[in-house]
Amino acid sequence: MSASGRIYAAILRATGSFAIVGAASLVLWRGVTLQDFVIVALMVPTTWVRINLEPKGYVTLAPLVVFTGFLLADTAVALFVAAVSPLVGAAASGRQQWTNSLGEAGGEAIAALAGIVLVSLVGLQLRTPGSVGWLAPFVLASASYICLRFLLAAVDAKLSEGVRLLTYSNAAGKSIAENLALLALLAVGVSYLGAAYGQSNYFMLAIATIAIVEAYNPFKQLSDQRDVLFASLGMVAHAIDLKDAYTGRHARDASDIAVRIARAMRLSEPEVRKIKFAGMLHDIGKIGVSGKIIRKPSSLNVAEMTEMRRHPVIGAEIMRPVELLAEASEIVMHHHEHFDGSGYPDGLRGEQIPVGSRIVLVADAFNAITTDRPYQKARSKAEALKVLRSHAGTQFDPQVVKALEGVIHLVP
Amino acid sequence: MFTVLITLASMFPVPNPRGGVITITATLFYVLLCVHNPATVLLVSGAGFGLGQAISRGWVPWRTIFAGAQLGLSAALASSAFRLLGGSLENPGVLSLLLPLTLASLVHQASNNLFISWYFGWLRRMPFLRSWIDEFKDYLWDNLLTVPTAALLAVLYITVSPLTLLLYLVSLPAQRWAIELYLQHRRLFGQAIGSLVLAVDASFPQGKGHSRRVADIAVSTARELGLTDSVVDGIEIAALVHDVGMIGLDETVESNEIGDSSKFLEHVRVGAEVAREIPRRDVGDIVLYHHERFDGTGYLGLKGSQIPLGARIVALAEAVEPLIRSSPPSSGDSLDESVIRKIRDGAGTLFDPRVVDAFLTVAKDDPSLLHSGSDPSASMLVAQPETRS
Repeated sequence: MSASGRIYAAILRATGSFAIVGAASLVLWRGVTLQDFVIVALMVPTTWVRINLEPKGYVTLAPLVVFTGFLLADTAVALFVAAVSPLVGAAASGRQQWTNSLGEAGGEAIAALAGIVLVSLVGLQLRTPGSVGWLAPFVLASASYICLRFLLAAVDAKLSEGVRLLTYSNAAGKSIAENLALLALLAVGVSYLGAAYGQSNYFMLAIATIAIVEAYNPFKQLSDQRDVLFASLGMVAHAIDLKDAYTGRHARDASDIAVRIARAMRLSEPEVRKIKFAGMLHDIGKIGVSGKIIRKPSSLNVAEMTEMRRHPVIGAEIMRPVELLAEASEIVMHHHEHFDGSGYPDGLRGEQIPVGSRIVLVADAFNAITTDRPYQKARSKAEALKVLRSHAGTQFDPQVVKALEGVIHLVP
Repeated sequence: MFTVLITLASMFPVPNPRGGVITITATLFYVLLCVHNPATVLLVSGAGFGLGQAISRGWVPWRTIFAGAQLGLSAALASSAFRLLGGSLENPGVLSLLLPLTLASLVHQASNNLFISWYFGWLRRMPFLRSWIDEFKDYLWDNLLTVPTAALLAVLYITVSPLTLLLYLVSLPAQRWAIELYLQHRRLFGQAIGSLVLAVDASFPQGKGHSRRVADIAVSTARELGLTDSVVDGIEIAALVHDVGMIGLDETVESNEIGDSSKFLEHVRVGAEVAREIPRRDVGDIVLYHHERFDGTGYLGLKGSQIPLGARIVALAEAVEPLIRSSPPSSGDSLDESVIRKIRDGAGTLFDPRVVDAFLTVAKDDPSLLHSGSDPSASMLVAQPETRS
């Protein structure tokens, strides 16, 4: 990750820790009411529904409780709920990347705080729905919450994955904004119910929250299954590396580099996804090639070479029947074609070669040069780039090599 | 209005992620029985469901009438239960609404399942009691999950407007879309794992189909032990990829060299590392520990309950699979005596006795497991939703 990305993450983490401690002590100092307690308790089931978005970002239902907190409870309670929800979610679902959760806590806290501060700057006050002038401050607070969450997520995607703002706005960013807006609406409904049944009737509040969690459940399951699915591709990639002489990260690293290049070349997100899969699985065809040939340190004889050169074709054949991978199989098929037409299996040249294949070839070569292999020590990134440049136009697409130069500080 | 809604709802079944089909009619029935008296409930839900069935699945008089009648009766019974228990929407709370509605939903489910099992039992001349209990257990959790939503909708129906129900219906296509996509992802995941399994089997002397059969045996045994779906899922994935570390072994290595323990252990470790790519801890642990012995004399020296249960199950399945495959085909639908003796001998030393018992029970009850092309429906990953009335 780039230096700016690390600094950004550190700032978020620090803000997150600070916000949790600050809001908690504020709530405690002021005295905890039963209502505060109920609102914090309602947060627990809402954090359980977490939907991870492509290419980066997430949505949970916790903002529902934050917005309800804006309306019914003290602002400190809302801030506390926002900041602590990612940690509770991590604990509830058994994910143990605390540093990430703390960063998310920072993002949530900043968003909630922005809403609260803005409202008080304008001189308004958040109130229970139905009372005079409750609407304007709530809209202001929730809108600024949504804007900031959106912005922070976009910045995060830009710094950690190189996704451009416009691309992000059309993908994950849109889902974040839409879902949060829907949650704000629902929060109004929930608060109305809670208020209509009197301050003491928390039953309706709980029932409503649980019903919303239940309605979102299919989306959570979908998101979880998608994560497992992508992870299983990582598993396949890892297994392929076992066959080769790599240490077990080559396929993933090559895929990461390919994705970086693809984003730098401004390819569309679906295309990037294809390249990501193809990068991970580009050597899957080696499964069918004898391990003796693959690991042979000396050069191969003609028969062995023919055998070895079948791996892109075998790989494409393995991937084609798998729905998710069928599109990427084309890229795998041609990932050993050279720009001047001297590659295999079809001897395509220049623009005839799918752009994904040209990218994967460069990413594969770059990662191979910069990692230790049995017959060659790892070389530095600068040296690797020099090698690639010297073959640009013959083996590699010059444009792709140029794109790699632009993102070289971002790749592992 | 309810009749129309229920008709509509029962026309659009939503596939259940856990197999089978759910319709959101249950939610509507529960709202209905909160706001109307039993007689109305009987008529409205019976007519609505029958009509929905007739429109979506064609008009077959006996089936339509049976479907309508059994649901109407179930709902009416549940409605009476709700009233008897003092359920009311006047002042909603745990005692006045949630508890009565929960119990009413149980009554509804029990009688609905009873009618269906009784009917199919009568049709196939089979005792229905066991299938009734199984059905009740299978759908219990899904049923209970609809209660909070139904309670909320009932309150909104009374206090705000009956039209709120329509708002709820609007959200259903989205949910349905998500569930369908979920099932698709699940199938894709099965395919991805399947291709990995092919690769593993290809580079391992035990040959084609070994991993799949080990997984089938492990899944059936785990079910027999009464483990939950999510745990069984993990065991299936782990059993499928348990030999993944062997991919790195050269084909030249003879099977006696595989016995070389340090090298072997290395491959088990590597396999576990690969399996840890899946974001579930249990899968990696099962792969890492599936060569442990119950008495603690295995590679890593874990003993008894220190070994994860899933790993104990996979260990047995892995040992049993070649035995079954090599046993004489004449033995047909029951396990060969010598095989049973071998497995029993291992109980307590190699295998967990509890797991051994479970496996032998399954092997007796479900002989299809013993055939090499075993029943794919045992697998959760390839299970397709089946329709059900």
